[in-house]
Amino acid sequence: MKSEPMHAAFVPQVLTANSLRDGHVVFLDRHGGWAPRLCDAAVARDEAAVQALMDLLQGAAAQAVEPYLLAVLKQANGSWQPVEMRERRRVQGPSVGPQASTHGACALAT
Amino acid sequence: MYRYDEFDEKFVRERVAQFREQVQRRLDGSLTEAEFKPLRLMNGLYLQLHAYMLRVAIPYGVLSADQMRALADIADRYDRGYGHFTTRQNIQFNWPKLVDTPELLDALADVQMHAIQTSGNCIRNVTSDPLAGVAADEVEDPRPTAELLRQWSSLHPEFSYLPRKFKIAVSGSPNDRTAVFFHDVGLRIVRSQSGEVGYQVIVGGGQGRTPVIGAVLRDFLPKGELLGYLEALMRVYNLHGRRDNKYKARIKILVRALGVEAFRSEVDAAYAAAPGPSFELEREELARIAAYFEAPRLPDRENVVGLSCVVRAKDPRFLRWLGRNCSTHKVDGYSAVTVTLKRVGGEPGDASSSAMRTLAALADEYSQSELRVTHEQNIVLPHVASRRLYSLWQELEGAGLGDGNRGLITDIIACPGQDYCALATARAIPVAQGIAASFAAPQDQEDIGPLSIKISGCINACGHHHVGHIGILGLEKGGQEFYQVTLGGDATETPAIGERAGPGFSSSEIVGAVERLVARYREQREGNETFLETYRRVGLKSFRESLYAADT
Ligand code: SF4
Repeated sequence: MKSEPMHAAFVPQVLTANSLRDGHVVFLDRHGGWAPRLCDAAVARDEAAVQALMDLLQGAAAQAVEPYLLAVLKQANGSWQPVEMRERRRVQGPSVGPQASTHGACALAT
Repeated sequence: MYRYDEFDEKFVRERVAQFREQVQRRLDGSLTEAEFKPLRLMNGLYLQLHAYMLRVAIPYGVLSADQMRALADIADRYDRGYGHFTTRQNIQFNWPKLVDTPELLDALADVQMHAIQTSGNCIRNVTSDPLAGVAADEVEDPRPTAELLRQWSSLHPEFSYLPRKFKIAVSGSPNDRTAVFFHDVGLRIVRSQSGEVGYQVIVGGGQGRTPVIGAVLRDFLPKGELLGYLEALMRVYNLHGRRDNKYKARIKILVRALGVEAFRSEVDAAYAAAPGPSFELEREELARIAAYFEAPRLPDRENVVGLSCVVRAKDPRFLRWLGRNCSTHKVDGYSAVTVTLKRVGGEPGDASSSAMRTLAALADEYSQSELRVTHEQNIVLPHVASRRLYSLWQELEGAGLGDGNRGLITDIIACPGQDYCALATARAIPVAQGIAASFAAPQDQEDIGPLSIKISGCINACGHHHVGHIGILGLEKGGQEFYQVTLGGDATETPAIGERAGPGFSSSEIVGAVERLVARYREQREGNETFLETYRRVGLKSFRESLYAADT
């Protein structure tokens, strides 16, 4: 049952990093690969799943720089979005200039 | 322009080869990120919010047309078609791939450029006056001194692991265009009463979380003693600078803790203890370097803006540009032209590869193939025959670079902020765009007159908000961007740190707040008073009232 208080308080997490080769923002997917879009990330919804993510990371760490856990929240439209403002910007890309919102777009789409 | 000698050239190439190997070892996993990070930073490669970022040194802001073209090619080949000119006269590329960086650095080396000393706790790229060698008010060209310092500080073993980064600016004119009072060391070339040329040494200025106006350490330091004296100064800093706390490690904190008098005595003692000054050597070296900076032979021109072209040009846009963006040149019949990278709707300091190529071509055609980068994130074409100004302007205008807004309310300095920077607490560029859009009408800008707005995306103050007439600092509060306003800052020879106006504003309120400040200035100004003059006369209170009127 998902109604246990501990689970209710748990903020879902994804693992993010920058890709080693090109520096782009990436997310760990279910298969232990790095995906460029948040919507392809494996979302951990409890502590056990976070541990599973960390285990998955072992095999993927070499291709990424400074991986860390990122708190995300499900939006009304069903997509995931980071909790922190800075992290939302990181996912969305520059809000100005020629590169405005060219990546991570699906994070906000339905 | 200064040309590297064979030693420099060889060194830069070797450094690239070394980095290529390091990158390879990082990619194949033999180096961890912890091991690799200091190596990439030593080569100017940062990791930002969305990608790696490469900061390329532009020594004292001087660029040749070929170098500008090379930067354009790099922007196209290794980035996404643009670059960002910074408040330290450098250029940053926002999207280089790690795998491409060695090749990119080789492309830079082809035009005698590199990214060394753009990061880390060393003496950073020395900055100077964008009108060096050109300005009519100049005592002496500051570039030879800046180059002397570059050579002296480059990879100096004693100064490669300082307590913190160290920034030096050199100004050659009484009218300061280098923010000389806001550097770890500021040097002003001055003339003594007996007519001798030397340096006024200013120490301990800076911005960041602790803004300080530098203090005069030596009123007059004779030429020939500069390196010896600075070495003594650096030694005192190296010994006593705080290495335990990154926020207290800059020299400004040390000078403040000791007091200027005590700091001066320490430096004097270290100077006296040093082996005799290499007085003659330094003078000779300076003279050798100065030969590279000899003014280009400018063919004689009539000292007219080609009156005919003004008459022909009924275009008020041209006349405004002529008044705002053209500066008097030492040589009769010439002008130094500032091209502002502050198009309304654009990103302050950004230039597309095509804009870079246009500027390079115009430098070839009009300005002895030379360009300068200003700390206001603009570009200068230093040697333009005044009678050709109209045709130059037409070409600039055709490329969308003809705005006559230098020093006006839309000539806004903004750091990359949270659109790019990993350290940012809020965005800066959209605020600049909002303000520029609100004051887009040229007549409006002209009526408001000189007004510098400077915006930083965090307390590190790369956008120089402390010294903006109106300074804006972006912070985060409760998960939202919010902006603190400071007033009355001044980066020039009449330095001042802006005073905090009061509580901050949300991102939707900040443009309105600036509009109210400007409205208050227009009500209060007397005669031709500038914003800063009015502010200095009437004080913070009146402007504060205008900001928070709605709340009371
Ligand atoms: S002021 Fe802050 S946000 Fe702006 S460039 Fe500097 S570190 Fe980044």
